[in-house]
Amino acid sequence: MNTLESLSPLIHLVDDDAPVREALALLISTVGLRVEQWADPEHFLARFDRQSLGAIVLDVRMPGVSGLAVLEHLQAAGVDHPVIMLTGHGTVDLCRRAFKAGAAEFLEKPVNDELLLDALQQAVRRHVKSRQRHSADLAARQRFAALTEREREVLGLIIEGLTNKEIGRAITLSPRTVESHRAHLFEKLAAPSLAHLIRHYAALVEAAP
Amino acid sequence: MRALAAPWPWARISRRQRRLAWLTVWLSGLLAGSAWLLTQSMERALNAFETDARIAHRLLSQRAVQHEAVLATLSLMQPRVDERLPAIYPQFLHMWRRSGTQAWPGAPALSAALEAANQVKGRPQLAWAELAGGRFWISMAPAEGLGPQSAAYALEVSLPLMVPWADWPFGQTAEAPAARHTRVWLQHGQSRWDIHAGDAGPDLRRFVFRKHLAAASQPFDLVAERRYGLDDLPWLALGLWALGWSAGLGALATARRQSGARKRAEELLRLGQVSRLNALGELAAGLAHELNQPLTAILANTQATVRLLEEEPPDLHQAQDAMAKTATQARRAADVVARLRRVIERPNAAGGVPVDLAGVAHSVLQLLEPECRRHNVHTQLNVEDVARVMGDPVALEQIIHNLVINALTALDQVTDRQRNLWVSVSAGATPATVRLSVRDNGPGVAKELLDRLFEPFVSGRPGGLGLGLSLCETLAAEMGGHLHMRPATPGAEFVLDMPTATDAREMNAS
Repeated sequence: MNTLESLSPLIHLVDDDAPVREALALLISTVGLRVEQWADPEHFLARFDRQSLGAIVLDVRMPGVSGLAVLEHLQAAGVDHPVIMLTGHGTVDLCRRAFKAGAAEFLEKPVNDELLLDALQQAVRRHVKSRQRHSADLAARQRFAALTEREREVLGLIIEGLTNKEIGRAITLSPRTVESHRAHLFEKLAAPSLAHLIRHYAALVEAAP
Repeated sequence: MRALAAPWPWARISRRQRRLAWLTVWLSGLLAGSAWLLTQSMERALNAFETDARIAHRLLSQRAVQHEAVLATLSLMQPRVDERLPAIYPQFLHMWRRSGTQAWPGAPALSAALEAANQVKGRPQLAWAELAGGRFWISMAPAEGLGPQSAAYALEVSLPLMVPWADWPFGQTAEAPAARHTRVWLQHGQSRWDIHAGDAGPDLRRFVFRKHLAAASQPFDLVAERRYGLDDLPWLALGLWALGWSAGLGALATARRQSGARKRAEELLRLGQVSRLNALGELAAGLAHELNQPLTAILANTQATVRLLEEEPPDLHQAQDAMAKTATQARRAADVVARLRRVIERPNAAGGVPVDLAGVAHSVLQLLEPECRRHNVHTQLNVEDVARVMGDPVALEQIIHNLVINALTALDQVTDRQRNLWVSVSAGATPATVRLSVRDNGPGVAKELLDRLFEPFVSGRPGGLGLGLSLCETLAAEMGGHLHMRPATPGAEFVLDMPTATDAREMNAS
């Protein structure tokens, strides 16, 4: 997680107009964000780094593939980057379609620096958070998979709120054995408290067969 | 925007087909009408002829029966030969009598014939007929039971005197074709006697009447023939029909063509307006994009520069670079504006031709007449006898068109009084100008718009582009004219002052 945060977020800027693209790139770079410029939307779709952390800035009006088509393409491919749309003439209809296709923000050109930079930073924060949540989920799932059959059974009963004694009765084990399973569980799942255990693993227990 | 009317079916077929269709309709109508008139005329002629022939037959039959009655009376009364009989009945040339075993006097052939006729008792008999000579003899044997000394009688009848000319139906008016074309005769075997001859000539139809006289003793056929010739045709009626039909159809065709042409003209005009608006919309959209791009770059660059200069230490190199790029983008925006100006400017606007301003006003009003009617506006055109103006007829038309349309739109808000529109062409304030005025009694122009009325994109109408008046003013100025507004109470008056065409220029132009 630390290695992810240490990297500065990368903004993908897609606009066919070179002077506009360069000016926007310069503006974005003044707040310490890295910018990768793309002149051709198709080129961008084929080549951009999906693992990168950051956001995408898309111009709506481009020759060839339109910004909206690119947005729909990204959505279909499951790309999780927040997308900020830029347009010269924002009609209500265009705006509606953009948000429906999953745009994070919709800004009119010429764009105010504060607005654009705020939107970008918010988008980057959201992306980082979503990635963190995603990796936390991933870790929890790996730990849950390492449990034995008996331990999962005990975990389910703990989450249901039963005491050690009650658990022993339910699955005909001595309370001492239950106690030792419980200690193993907390250790294996790296749970500092019962609350943490319930918050992170209740969903996994319910989903398990 | 109103949808364009679908082209009417006539418009789809070619001019030549249309002409052929009209010709077919004209010809078939002409033929059908003529045929009807002809049939009527023939039927009338036939009816008249049959009536006349029947009357003639009846008259002659009555005479024949009368002859039999006279003969029967003589046979019964047995008088001596009485010379007074022909005086009473002029058709009897002679009265003959033969008593007992006497022989009939006269030529042997005739007396033999009379003798033969007497072989039949009790009924008058035809003895001898000389139809070509216009006479015949009828005779009757003595009645039975009167004794051997009783006499037989015979009458010599003259055909010309037998015809009752006073009551004769044919030839009452000898000049009429009905009289001239009718031939009437009596026929007995091969011989005949013409009552009247009739003239010869080609005939379209021939009616024939033939009937036995209603007296057995005079077995003659009355034959009548009616020739229906060329001069019997109803020439006057035919001529009038041809004339009337052609004139009526011609008027219809002209009306149709005119309304078609008018419809086309209106549609073209509307199309022109639509396409002008579309072009304008395209231009505006393109312009917005073309200007937006450099403005975006300029804004981003300057804002980036501000941030670069705020850094500690300021990044002068990058800031300088950004400012250079800003200058380039500002020039790009200026180029867009210059290009737009070149597109909009019309070349050669200064030239002009002498134009009859009143004529242009008249044609515009005529063109917009359906529009006026639709808006329920009463229109009045007043024209003074003024000189022609120097200008571009198309531009003048467009100015007047715009002013009238504006007035019509303004008048839509009037509900409490008659909607009036006055257009006038009169002498201007100075001798070298002509003034056109378009005045309405609508709500007038809002106070806050008065000063900016002729600026582009200023409109008093919701959704209006605000280009109409500004365009009019530009067009007027280009022709050396002047367009301004005078408030009227109520309403608004737009006044166009145009320079007159001087004689020298007019002569050059013509």
